[in-house]
Amino acid sequence: MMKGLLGMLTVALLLSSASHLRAQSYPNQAISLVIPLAPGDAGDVAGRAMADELSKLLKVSVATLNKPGGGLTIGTDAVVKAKKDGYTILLTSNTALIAGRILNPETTPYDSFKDLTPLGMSTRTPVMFVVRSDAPYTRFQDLVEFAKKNPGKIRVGTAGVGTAGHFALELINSLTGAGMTMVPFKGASPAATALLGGHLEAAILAIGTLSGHLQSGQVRGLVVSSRSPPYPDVPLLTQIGYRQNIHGVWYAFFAPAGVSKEVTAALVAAIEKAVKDPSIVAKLAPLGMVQDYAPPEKLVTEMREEYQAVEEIAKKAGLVK
Amino acid sequence: MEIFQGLLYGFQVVLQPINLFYCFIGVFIGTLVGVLPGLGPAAAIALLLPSTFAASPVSAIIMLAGIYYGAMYGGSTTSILVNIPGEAASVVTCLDGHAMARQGRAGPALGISAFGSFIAGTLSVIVLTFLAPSLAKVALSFGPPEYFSLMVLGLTILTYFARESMVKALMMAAVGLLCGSVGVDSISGRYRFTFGIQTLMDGLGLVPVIMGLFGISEVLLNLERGKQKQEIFATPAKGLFPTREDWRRSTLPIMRGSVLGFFLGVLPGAGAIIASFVSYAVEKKASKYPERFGTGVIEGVAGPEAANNAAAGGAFIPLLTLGIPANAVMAILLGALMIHGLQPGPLLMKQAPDVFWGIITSMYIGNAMLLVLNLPLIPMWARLLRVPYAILFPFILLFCLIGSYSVTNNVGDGIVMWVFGVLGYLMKKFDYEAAPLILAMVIGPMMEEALRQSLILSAGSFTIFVARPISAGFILAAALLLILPLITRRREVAKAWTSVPQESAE
Repeated sequence: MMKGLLGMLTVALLLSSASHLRAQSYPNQAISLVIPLAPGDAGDVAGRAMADELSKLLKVSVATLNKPGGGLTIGTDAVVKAKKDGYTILLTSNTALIAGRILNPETTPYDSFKDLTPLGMSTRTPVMFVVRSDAPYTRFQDLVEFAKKNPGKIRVGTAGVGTAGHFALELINSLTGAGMTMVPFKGASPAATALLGGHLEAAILAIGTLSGHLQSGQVRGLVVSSRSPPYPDVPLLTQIGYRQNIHGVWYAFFAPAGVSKEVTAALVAAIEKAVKDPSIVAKLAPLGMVQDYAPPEKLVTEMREEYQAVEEIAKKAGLVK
Repeated sequence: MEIFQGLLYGFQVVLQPINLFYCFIGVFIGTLVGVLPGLGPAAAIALLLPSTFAASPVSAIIMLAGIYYGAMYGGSTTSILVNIPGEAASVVTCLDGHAMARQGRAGPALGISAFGSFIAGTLSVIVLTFLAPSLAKVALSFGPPEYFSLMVLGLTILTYFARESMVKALMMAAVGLLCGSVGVDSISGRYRFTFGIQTLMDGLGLVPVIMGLFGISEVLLNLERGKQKQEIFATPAKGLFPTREDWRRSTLPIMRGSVLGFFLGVLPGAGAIIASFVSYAVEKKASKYPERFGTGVIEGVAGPEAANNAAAGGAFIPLLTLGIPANAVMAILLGALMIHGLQPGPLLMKQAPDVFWGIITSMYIGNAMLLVLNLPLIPMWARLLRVPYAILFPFILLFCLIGSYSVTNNVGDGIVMWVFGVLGYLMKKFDYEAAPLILAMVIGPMMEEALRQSLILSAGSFTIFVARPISAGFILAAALLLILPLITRRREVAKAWTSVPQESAE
């Protein structure tokens, strides 16, 4: 009887000391990393790779949870509303934080700047303007000239309304006055297929989907949003005399707003290491993704600049009032 | 000759014990995923993708591909036994498959779907081996106008899914079109019929709707009947396999289903679901007794089951030869190839012949494995029907819930499933068919998107649909399908009129 009581006391003591320890150090339980994309998507692949690395660095399991839908806004919103304990974090893209907010403010129930704690920029996927390799134009300027003379003759496929490619095309049209027609598809693959089949003259898409076609020489890049190592010859808009560049797709880590400073510091340090891990860099390169770390402050600065630029494009193109 | 060398090389790769092992694991998981309602191959492949990172690219892709075509085998099992499709592509199999089971012929129905799947799967791999590059060109020639016209043709077959009342079938098709228009409008980016509900932003999920209309409604209906009145299906010891007569009637449907399924499978987007519906309509049209479809006709099982397997084979063509994924599963496989450092497309055959020929030959072996795996299971599945509903139904509900939830990890989809479950229950009570609703819901959004894309391409001119030969062909076929029955009916009516006075004169 006494023994039993003693035993129970010891267990209780041990338990309480354990929970005391637990309260002191973050992290001490599994972290879930929400990815607002479908499994197998390029961004999901990047997220899973980094989650594995984060598990090793933080010494707790970092499990990915896919919550696709609503142009990444559903999964993003789920993290905005999650507990602020640092055990739910997010890898999301500018589609949810910038395009979604600007185009559909009524269905995007969060403020990208106030409702999330930035943890670091991780990955970029450049957006490229491509034509079939049998097209007569080898330079972007030639195509612009042709489009100006033949209104409606250049039809450009995008991965859908509100995607990076869509805004890029609106910006190109407003900078050059080329007046090219936008044809939205449900995702990048159908748009690339229509381009290869000769149903479109051009497409403007994230490189991931295009890389196979670029390597086999079926399509040719004319302009890109940022340097893509495998295609050094494709210029940026600013390199050929325009004043602005098109925006690519990027992914960054976030936690809900109001997470404690210690937790943020622990996560930021681990994320920096995971993003810069050479094996991940090598793994993502063939998918057209460039690991490009930026600390939280720099991430926010870039977000603000891009938000302003994209809002301006959307207003000019009549996408918002 | 090059092809035979390739095949030989492929078999050398696949017959390595480790690859045979991966192939078996793949088709085994595929069968399981197919049998469990709601759990689809896309979710399973995505879940297992990370676990293949350590394997060699050939082994990984062989296994993942096995899950895909394996699921097409398993999908028919629950359709036949409990009237709940295990896979979206097995919705049609419910119609006659379950009716066969009620007559105590679950064995032959399961048997013919296993054999039909094997024949169609193997035929499609043979065609894939020899004609892949030229078929890939056909797939590319389909632009938005061609898809629109194909979908118009697809909608005309809706009428074949009316069992009793044509008006009711068309009403359900209209509901399906409406359900299909929920969510973001892909051309303008605006939300339609979402009522501010996040779950509806991307439209109603096909899996929750199917699980509701078929799974939940079936459970509700049987609850009402009460546990005493559980139907005891006769499962005679003999007759677990198709008879000679069954075979005679199924041979042509399997052949037609294979061809149809294969070609629809090659086209990105069309896929296995539409193939199974089209095959059913074709069999009903070709049959001497179309009025008996829906009452347990074996042709109605053999054709669609062959079609969905052939479509699974056809879907590999655009991926392997062009680097274009034909559906969500192929998109994940594309990602898997790229993660392993391979570039699907015209270069794959040269850069990684082991992978290219390995995948193709693994499908010959995988299909054989699936047949060997599935045939001995038939008596076991048939016995499943004797499990008391009090035990069976909680499991069905559980799997339906898991299936609906796991597509997007969203609780809202579970609610969608229940809403459609109650709707499906009422539809069954009042004799409304669910199949036209599903077909319209699949076709509607694709048709609308293609129509509006085409009109953007043509700057608003409708002539684009008749100026392009493939598109014009589909439109013509659709028009014929709609007009011909009217003409024959008019003749019948005329005959009836002339015969009536004669009879009364006598």
